[in-house]
Amino acid sequence: MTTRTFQVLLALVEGPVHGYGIRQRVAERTDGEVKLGSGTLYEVIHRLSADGMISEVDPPEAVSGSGGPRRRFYTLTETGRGALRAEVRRMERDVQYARGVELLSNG
Amino acid sequence: MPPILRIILLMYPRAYRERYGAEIADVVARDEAASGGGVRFWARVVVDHVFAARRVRRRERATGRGEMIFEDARAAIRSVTRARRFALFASITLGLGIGATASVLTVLDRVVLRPLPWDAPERLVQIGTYIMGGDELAVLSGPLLRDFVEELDVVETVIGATRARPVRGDLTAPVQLSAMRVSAGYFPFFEGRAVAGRLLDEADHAEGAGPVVVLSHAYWNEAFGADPSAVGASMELDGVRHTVVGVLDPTFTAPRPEFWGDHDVLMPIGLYQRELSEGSFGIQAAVRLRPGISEPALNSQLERVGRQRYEDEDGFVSGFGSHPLRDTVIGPEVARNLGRVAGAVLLLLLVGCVNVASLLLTRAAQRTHEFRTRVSLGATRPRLLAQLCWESVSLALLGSLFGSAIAWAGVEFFRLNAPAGVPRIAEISFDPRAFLLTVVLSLGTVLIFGLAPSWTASRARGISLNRSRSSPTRGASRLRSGLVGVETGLAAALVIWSGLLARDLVEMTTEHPGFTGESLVAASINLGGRPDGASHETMRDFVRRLDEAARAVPGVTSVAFATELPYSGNALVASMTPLESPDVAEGTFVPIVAIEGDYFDALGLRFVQGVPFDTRTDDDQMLAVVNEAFVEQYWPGLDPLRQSIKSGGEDVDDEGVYRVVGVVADVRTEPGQPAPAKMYADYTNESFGRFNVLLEVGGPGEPAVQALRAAVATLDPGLPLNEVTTLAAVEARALERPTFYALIFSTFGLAALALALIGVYGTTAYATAARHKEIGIRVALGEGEQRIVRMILRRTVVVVSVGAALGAGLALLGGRLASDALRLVHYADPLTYLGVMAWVVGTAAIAAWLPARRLTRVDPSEALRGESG
Repeated sequence: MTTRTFQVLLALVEGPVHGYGIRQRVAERTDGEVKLGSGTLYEVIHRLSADGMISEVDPPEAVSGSGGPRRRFYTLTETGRGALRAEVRRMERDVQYARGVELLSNG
Repeated sequence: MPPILRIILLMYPRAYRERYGAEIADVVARDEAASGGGVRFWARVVVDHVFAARRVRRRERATGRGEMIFEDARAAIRSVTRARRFALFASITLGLGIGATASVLTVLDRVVLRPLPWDAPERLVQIGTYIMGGDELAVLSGPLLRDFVEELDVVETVIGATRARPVRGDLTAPVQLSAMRVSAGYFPFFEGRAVAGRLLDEADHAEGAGPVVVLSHAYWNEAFGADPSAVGASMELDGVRHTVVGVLDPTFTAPRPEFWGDHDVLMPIGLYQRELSEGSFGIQAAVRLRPGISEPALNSQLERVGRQRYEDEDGFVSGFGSHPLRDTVIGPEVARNLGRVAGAVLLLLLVGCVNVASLLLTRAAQRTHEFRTRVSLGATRPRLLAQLCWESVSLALLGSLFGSAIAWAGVEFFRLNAPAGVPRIAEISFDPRAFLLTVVLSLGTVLIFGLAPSWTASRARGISLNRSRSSPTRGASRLRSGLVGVETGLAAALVIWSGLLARDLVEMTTEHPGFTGESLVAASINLGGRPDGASHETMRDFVRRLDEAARAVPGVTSVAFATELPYSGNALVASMTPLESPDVAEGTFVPIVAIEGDYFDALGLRFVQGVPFDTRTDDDQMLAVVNEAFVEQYWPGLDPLRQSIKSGGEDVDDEGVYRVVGVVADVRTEPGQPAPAKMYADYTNESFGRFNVLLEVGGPGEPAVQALRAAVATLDPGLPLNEVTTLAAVEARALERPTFYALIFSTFGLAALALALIGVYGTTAYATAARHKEIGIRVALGEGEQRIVRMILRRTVVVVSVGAALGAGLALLGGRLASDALRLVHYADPLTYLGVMAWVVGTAAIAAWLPARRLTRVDPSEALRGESG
């Protein structure tokens, strides 16, 4: 799983959000370290929905009706959640290993 | 949405664009607002989207949901690049045909079709006289021009110009300049502007005006280093001080520079300044018609005004007339020749098209199997057709790429190599419209000739998938043979024409021009421009003394003088009456060459009858030598050595009678053209201001020319020696034009033949490949290899022979229409026809043998296993 994919999936854990929202959540959480370009963002969204990792949902009442283009809201599917969980576990193992060899304490 | 974003979004498949486009635009707009935009922002956006779009498209392809247009284009490019040899042949063919066509059409357009560069060019008309009942428009005399200027009222302006060769005497050595004497109105007529000072105005042409001169831009650069202070400076021309009043714009053009302009200096013609000689014909004249006036109206007025001065219709001036200035600029010969070249190039294009068609047809047949497979796998016909379209387009683009390179090279070739006398050629450059033309032409060719056969092939049904590669159907194979026959025929016609021109050229080069002595050094001298005027006595005396001085130069073995060089075409005429000639009017104008010194010997003129006269004796005898054409024309069936020629006609005072002492073989005035009647007389009796000195030199010519210069300088320090050349160079220049056209036609002919051979090769290669299995069986059954190859060759030879025969017919037809292009060879010259046909059939047989030869190496067992073919 690429960083971009991982970050998009992770952003959706907090609940359904539109494309621009995904990018904002990613930027906030990583302190701007991970920047998704507008092209990349939608390419990843398109791929994840094609693969059934995320799906489109109706926008919440509060947001619909505001100006601007109609924004599609996305949410994690079960497959997506499962894939994300598996990825996080793999990362966890890697982090534990790294701790075990005292990679971080030296830093 | 900013336009750049629109373009960015075009990179995505349509469905994707429709789904996400608006949202992407929204995000980009927010980002732009946040970051402040700028070049770096947009650069980042573009890069991001390029990569994203690539990933999207790649993924769609992998999942089989690709958008068709991209898919088809990619498949087409893959298919064309995979069939490299095919693509190469097809695009070279296209490029050759299209490039050659575009370049020739560019030249034709610029030289012939483009209107004259001056305002309302359709109202510009050249006027002139008809001389001695001839039908070629000739020059006017000064007084006649003055009459026209004063009396014509159907025109807005009348202008005249005449060449002059003033000698500039205020330099360390005298230099002869090339000059134009022009009438008032000349500069406005051709829209000339001054870049410094002014041009000539009315006052300069008026009676008693001071001598002034305008410099051409080139001469201003050359002689004054483009110094602005040249304006106001003075120049001594023919011993008279002239004031420089201005410099002409470098872009100034006058039609036919050799008649009308493009000279070192321009001066007033002086219609009212000096006594213009009634007999001095040499003025080119043109008018600008008033709007709505027709040429016949002009002609009748010319006739009325002209008759007042030259009353007699049987006299020297027999009529007055006009033709569009355009005809003067382009000249019928140039238009005709370029028209023929265009005809030849269209034939080449046709060969190219037929060749591409046959290549595409062969390829389509080869791909029947591929199409069937794809139809079986679910491809629809529109889908196949779309891909074929893309294939055609990529081929056409490749072809036009080659084509524009060839077109550019072709135009450059024309510009640099065109023979003297092709007007407006120097201004020619590669025309971007020609590039467009190549693209359109090649697209058209490929779509017409490429799609149809491919479409037929794509009609394949899936059911025959299990059969091995299909053998060619009878109809398709006939069509291919037909195409090969047609292209061979067209190529044969072109090669025959180029063969005729080449043979004609060879004949011209090898024919005896009637003179020898190519090593003779020639230079011209003009006594006519001397300020003191030159009487017969002074000219005679000058030539005598120069003869003596030149003979004293070490290394010079013989010295001759003549008013005309062979192949020069600058014939002088004198009023003569060949006595006892049936029906010749008194005072006929006879071409005459006035000679002195060792003329007959030095040029190796062959005496058919009689002997030369000695020019160096002092007696006053009037002796003449004539050529065979003269005898033929004036004294047919009579003994020329008993004849005489009376000098002058009724209206000429100085009479004398020449006794003919010899007849020489004809000397050509132009290669391959019949020689006109000519009479040779002693310079002592017939002196002209302009003449040529001919030197035979034992060693290198340069020291002898230096010595001659020195000799001239001792006789007259103000007299320049001009146009120093050798007779060999004169001869080469005369052959320039036929060489050029023979070269063009040969290039086209050979290119067409090469294309036809490619066609023969391709078709045979395909036919042999398709018969691989059959031949395997034959070999297995013990049939001789030679026999198989013969079988394949026989078919090609039959097709090509029929084609070549048809081509010969076409060549005959075209040759009849253009028979005047040939001078010495008949257009139906059997030797050329048979030779070219044998050559075409022979080379075609070789082109067929190359792929056929492979068959003899067929391993029967492998061939019979079937699918390898």
